[in-house]
Amino acid sequence: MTRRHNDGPTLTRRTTLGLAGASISAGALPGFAADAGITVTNPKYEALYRRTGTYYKNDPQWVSWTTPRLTWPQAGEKVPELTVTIPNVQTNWLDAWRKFAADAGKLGLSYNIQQVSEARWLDLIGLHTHGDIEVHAAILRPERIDPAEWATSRAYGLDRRNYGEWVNEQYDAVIEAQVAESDPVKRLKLVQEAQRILADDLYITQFGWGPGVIEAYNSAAWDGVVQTRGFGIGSFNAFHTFLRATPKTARRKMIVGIHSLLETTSIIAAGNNMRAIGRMIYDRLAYMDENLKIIPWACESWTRIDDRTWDMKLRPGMTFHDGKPVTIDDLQFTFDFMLKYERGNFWTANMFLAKTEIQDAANGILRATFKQPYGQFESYFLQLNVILPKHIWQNIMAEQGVGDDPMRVRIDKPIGSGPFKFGRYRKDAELQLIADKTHFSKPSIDEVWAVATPSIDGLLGRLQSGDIDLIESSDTHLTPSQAKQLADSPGIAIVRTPDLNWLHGVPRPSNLPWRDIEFRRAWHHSFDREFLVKVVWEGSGRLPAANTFLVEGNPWNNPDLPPVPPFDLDKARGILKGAGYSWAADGRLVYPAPDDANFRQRVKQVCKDGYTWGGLEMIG
Amino acid sequence: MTRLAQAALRRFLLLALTLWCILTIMFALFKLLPGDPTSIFVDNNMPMEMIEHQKQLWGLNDPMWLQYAHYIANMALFRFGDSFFQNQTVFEILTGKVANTCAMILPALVVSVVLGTVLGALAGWNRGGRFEQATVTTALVLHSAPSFFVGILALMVFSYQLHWLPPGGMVSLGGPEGFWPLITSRDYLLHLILPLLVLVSREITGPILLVRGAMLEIKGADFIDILRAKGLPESRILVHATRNALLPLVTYIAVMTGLLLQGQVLLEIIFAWPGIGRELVTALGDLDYPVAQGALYVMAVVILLLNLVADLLYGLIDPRSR
Repeated sequence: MTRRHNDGPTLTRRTTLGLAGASISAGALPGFAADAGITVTNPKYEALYRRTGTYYKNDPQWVSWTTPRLTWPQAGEKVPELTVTIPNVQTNWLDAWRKFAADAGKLGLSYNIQQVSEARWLDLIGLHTHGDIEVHAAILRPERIDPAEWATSRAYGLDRRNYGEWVNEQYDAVIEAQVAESDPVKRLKLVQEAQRILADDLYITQFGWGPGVIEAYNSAAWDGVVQTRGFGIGSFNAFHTFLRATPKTARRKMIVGIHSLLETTSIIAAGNNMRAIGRMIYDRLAYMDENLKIIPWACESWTRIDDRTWDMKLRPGMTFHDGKPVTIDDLQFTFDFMLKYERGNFWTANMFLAKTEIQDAANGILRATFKQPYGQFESYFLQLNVILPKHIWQNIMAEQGVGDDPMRVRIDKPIGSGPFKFGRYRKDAELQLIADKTHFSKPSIDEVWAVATPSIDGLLGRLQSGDIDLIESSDTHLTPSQAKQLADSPGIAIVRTPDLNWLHGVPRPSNLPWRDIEFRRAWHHSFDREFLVKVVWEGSGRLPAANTFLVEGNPWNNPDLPPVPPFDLDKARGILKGAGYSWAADGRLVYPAPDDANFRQRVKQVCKDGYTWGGLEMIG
Repeated sequence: MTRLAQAALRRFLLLALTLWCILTIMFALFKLLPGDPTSIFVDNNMPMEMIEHQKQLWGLNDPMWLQYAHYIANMALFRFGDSFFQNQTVFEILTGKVANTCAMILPALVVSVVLGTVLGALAGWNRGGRFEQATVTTALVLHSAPSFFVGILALMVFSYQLHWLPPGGMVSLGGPEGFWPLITSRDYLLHLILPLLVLVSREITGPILLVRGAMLEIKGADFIDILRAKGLPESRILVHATRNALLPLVTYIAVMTGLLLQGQVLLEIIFAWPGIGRELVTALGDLDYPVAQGALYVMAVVILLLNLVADLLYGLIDPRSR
């Protein structure tokens, strides 16, 4: 069932990563990182800039880009060209940015729009060397319903994915408090407060809420597809359709076209696809219904003992796909395994877990104790964690000789307890999932077949010709034009599900010109969001009501946020003029005079009045 | 040692040197790649000790010369290590993918060469005739048509609209398992037709134009006049002429095979064919360095070997080149 090929010395990750690792060490030559002079206002945040040996202050590229942006501008100095880095697969982003750049030109701003490969883009944003503006779209996963997923990762001062290095101490305090708040009502208030600070301080700007979730399916063959808010009908991440759909014909096998199949069949080393499909094979402890409400799944119920302790009751009568019963030992073993080894997919789910102990073996009750008060128990901890069969996994590390690196464990045929069993699998071609009719939420259908079809034209053609029943929609939605094209095909139904998506831009408030809140204010007025929504997205999306990650429809949304500054170039120009900016003969925007006390004050303060900046300081 | 053996040895040494250069360049290139691949595997916000521990497991602290030595030794023995993401050895992954690609390109190669040679020879022999005009014009049109466009068009017409042929993949859902049962099944042949036609429509043009050009030269050669003077029928003379026109095709086939092996990315995507080209593109996109390195290395080795074979064959066929 599981095996490992380990035949002598090979070019393993060890050597190959070493190769690439050299690029890092080459960049960290002694004396080359000229970070002298770059300091942090609040020493707490020094941890971000120093924590990883070769990043930020130790990265010459970061230092050379950042230093001039932390140096006071000279008299008559123009606002520099602003760099936007866009992955070349995101043609929509590019279309929108061409318009944004043309409009910004009228304000005297010049954008340098760079297109790079997706891998390079990930590299650049990871190193914070992407330039001035990071553009990002939401891709929804179940755990991302938890507010901390975006609100922390994209804006918390100590998080490396806060690409603008925005450090608002009040925001960070609220984020730290909400993670530790186990009362959902109190937590909601904190999350809403965090959204208010984010919007107040004009950090991110939402360009559009969307694009919409538009899907098509073979309605001649299937009934009862389930629309899950934000996810639609065809996402393996929200598998209600695959449980509840009923066939209209004698065919009880649903065929799903998918852009790419599994990267690996190991749930521990899973990429996005295996995580999604893995949900159907491995039961999670809790799940979400179509309205994104957390519902019991493998855990029948849970009880909060105190703010860092919960009792989880395992659903009785569950079995693994090899027929062995799921016991409380399996659940405890899973957590022990994760705590001992896991530094990958499940690390974030268990980073606050201290220990588990069996409270009542007869009734299947396991007590989880966390290191600190914990607010993400239901929406994160229960939703992410799986149950590993102890009888398969207990000796697997030693058997396969992988040391203590669980990412190297090889599982050729995953055995879980989920509603579908792992069936036939041909890599990059097809995957069969067989309904487990003994599951507590047994599917109505018999089988799901996922067929790899790498091109969108191929997916549409196959749907149109009836070769597939629907398109897996975790990251593939239809445009209105594509939907229109399919709508004329007999037996195809088009479904629109309310979305929770967004596309936003993250500037660099830690650097000039973004350090000046008046510049940020004007900049926010420079985006023709209607163009994005109506033209680029062909009307499939919404004008954003506020600058928040948790859009309307998300259970954690704050409905009382300040509105997004509307597209108004005259107003933007007025704000800049009022803040001391001027324009050179060539039309380019010029910084306020070096002795402009208001400008200096704003740049030092960075945040809006009433908030405290804790991040990088100006040099000199 | 015969002159042929000396030539072969010289070619072989040159191949080894070229391979070493390629390996060294690849080593340097992957070293110079920007970014930190470790960040793919470790959460950005893990405590530093945990990140360091993981890096330690991957052995990132070996001196450069040791890494280079390991790398050269492993590559020379075709030990490519494990994929970062697929929990399989790179060797396993590439073996399957190369086999799949071969299952598409080899039939196309055979059909293109055989048919292209016949058509090219006939076109060249019938210089100035309608057949030559039609063949050359068609060949030039086909050569200019992008294969991804022809592929999509073929799928739209023959699969999505007419439902005559399958819409992609190597076999139908639940088709035969295992490589040999798969490629000996009727289902595979059915799935092969469209990609084969698209590939042949492009690859046949090379042999046609090459053999036609060679035939035009040979047609005026003295030995043709001698054969005619001896009273051989025209068909026999054509066979003799064609055999002599095949010489340039030997090298071309070697180069063509190498290019076919590495260059069918778009067709593999359009026809959902799980081959080496698609794998390489995915690996590069995902920063799966071991797979990318392995795939590039395999392609380099194949091209070099095919060139070596072509050189040796050339030497055998044409003594002047030794």
